[in-house]
Amino acid sequence: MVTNSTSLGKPPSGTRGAREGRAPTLWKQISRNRFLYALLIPVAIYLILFKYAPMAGEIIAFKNYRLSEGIWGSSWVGFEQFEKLFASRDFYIVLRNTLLLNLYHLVFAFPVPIVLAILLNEVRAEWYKRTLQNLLYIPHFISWVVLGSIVIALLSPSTGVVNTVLKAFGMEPIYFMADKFWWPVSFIVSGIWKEAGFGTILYLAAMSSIDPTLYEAAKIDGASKRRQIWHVTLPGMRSTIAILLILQVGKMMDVGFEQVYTLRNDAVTSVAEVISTFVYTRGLVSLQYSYTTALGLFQSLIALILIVSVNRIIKAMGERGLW
Amino acid sequence: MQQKRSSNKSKGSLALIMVMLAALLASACSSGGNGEGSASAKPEQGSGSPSAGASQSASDDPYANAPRKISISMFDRGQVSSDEGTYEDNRWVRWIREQSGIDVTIVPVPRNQSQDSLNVLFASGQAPDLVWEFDRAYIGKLVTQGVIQPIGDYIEKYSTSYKKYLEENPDLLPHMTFNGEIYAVTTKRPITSIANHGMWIRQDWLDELNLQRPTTVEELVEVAKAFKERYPDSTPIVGHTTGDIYSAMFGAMNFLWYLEDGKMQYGATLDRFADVVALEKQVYELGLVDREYLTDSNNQRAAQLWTTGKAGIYLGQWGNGANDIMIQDMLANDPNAKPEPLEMVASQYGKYGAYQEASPNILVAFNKEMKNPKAAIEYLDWLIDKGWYPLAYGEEGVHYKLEGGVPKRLDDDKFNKEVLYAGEYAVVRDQVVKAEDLIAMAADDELSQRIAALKVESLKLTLKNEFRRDIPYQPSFDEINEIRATLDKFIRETRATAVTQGAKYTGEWALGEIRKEWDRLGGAKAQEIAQQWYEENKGSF
Repeated sequence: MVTNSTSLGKPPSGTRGAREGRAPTLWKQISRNRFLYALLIPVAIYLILFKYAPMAGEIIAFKNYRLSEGIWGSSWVGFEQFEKLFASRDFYIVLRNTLLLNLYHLVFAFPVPIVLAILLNEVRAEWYKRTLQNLLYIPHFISWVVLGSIVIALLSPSTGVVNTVLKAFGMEPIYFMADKFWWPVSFIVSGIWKEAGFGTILYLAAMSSIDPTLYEAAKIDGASKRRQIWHVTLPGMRSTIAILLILQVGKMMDVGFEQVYTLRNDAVTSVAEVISTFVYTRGLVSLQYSYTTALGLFQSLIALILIVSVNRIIKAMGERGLW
Repeated sequence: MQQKRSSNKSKGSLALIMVMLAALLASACSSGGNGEGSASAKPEQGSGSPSAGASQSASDDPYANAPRKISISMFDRGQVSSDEGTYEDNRWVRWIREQSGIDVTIVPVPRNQSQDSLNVLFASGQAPDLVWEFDRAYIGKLVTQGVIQPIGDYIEKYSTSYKKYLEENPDLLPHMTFNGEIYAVTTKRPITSIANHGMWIRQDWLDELNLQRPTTVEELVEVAKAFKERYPDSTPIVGHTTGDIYSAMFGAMNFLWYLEDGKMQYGATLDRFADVVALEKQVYELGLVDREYLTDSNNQRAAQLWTTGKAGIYLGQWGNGANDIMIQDMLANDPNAKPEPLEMVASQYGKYGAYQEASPNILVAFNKEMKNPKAAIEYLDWLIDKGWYPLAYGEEGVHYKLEGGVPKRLDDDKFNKEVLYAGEYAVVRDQVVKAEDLIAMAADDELSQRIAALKVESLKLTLKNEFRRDIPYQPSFDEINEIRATLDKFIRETRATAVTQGAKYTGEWALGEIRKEWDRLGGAKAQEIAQQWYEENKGSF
């Protein structure tokens, strides 16, 4: 019955649809694939209910939100929250820290899974590769609360492994977690430790789709392993790298709450306070909901601009981009 | 024909999916949206309860026919073991319902995030009828947010026992009053919970070195140095209230207002605060404290050093709870250790006590949206009358026996498991404890008695010196709350920088930075408001 209806629906869609504008074609398409669309409904409802509907709450950024008056009842204040935000010094410190940590992440952490994936791809012994992969994935499944205390213990100046090694080489122990220079380093490295292994999955998938004949051809042409990687593997991963890069830039204004919250301490607040922790302490704890919503809205706006422009650039470079 | 039927059928199934989804969503919403719904299944206790206000005639009582049902928040401290049940449902909750005749629903919030959890509950309209906190400033915030209601009239109209208690303790009134109206119910703390911070020292270390207990800040540092010399591997001073205790020595807690020649001044901006930071820096640079105190956020290292006999002085609590357990552990590790309470030492400004709580205990506020304030008042009346006693001490003959009017604990482990968690259900209590009672209350075994004797001494030493508190309670206004949102963090960071970053940064430097930040955030204005508040309220102090 289904095939029946689709075959009947086909002929007009090409000719009549073009003449009468897009609407009928779209409708036809939907009615043709109605079951697929029906399957989509739960997801659509989920997105509308939990991702789009809450956006209406963003209006409190333009209000002075009080718990008793609710979202609608609170008084409008226009751009007052934003003015307060841009006038506060905290805002620039928090913004700077957020951007810096993300920049370090982009420069140092983003390439690691790519390199790791290439290395894994070149491992010949299957059992060794499997074991290695599993070991690399494990930290991803441990929460930051646990990893955070492990990191702090590892880097402890008196009892930590890292400093024991430093001392063995006759160096002074370093209090990594309380030093404004070393804290961001520890932050990024611990981030790599947790996520780099898991990040290889997508790249490995991209590599497995590379046509093996390309490698054979390269080999026949006398290309060394390094040349093969450069001319075959990397181009084969290009589009995946591009997509992940766009997504990463989209997160430029966002540093995960848990990692910062578990790793920071009083000595490094000036480099460790980021938007997410700031929103938590100011908004949820100190009840300045409107103020922090204004910050959140600003953050989303910048992220949107960033993601759109990077998408443009990537497309201009001949990749497919996100949309 | 066939074509038509098939499309009808698929339309029908699509509609079915939609309906199912809608039903699913609706049910999900209703179960999430109404926390009290689940409690309605519980049997109503009805009107036959003993504490029902018999004197109220139905005509002037709008709540006569309202269900006698309330909900109340509770700190989830993770103390309910699984065979006892949960914070929502356990022997004590069932007992409360049975005895009070009021259908009480418990809404637990995690202790460490109590305020933000309650904020979220308020924002989503799910906050319980009665909300409580120890922190008066938080109740002040709720007043500003307009989510709780004045309750003076309710107490006047419906209360008997609590009203009487309040008449006997009128000094509590200013603590319950915000903007001229009563917004919260509270009772007095027993001395065991007025005393809070305290110091402990290894008497055996002192004896070995033939030293006297230190009485001044300088002597404290000298003793710590001597400890370090004698035991090079040790960390002489550890603790989890170190910063607050240094502050208290100089009478300059960074978050309190002080009166200097009749002028209100914020603690962190006082000259004395520079001395606090300087002392902190001195002991750090001399290596007398744990150099990694900054990353010891859960105080695990400190506790470990102390209980394994690698520390000489502990700055923590006077006793009770975690402190008792630490001392137990220490004595188990080293039966010859002699941890003893140490009196606060004097600074050049005088001898002040370590941090002590102000007299009011838990502050209970009434949600603006509550259905039956009368039942809530009756519940509080029942608690303060007799309900609190078993919640604090357990069941007679099972957990305690009365000896000369003092409830003597029969078995520590049993008490800790079955009763300890219930204490905070008794949000109001008419409890008076004398220091000597601690010995009578403790179990009979040698260790319990030894710890109890130490606690009696500790409690006396702790309360001997008054904690410097120039005004009985702190003013709460938006300007200072806003400043603190930024300043508190700044103080902590400046303090950490001054302590750890070498000779360039001194106590004076830290104070200068803090004052600059205070001015930049509009501290002058806050000071003015605080001064005005003081002038208006000083009559009631």
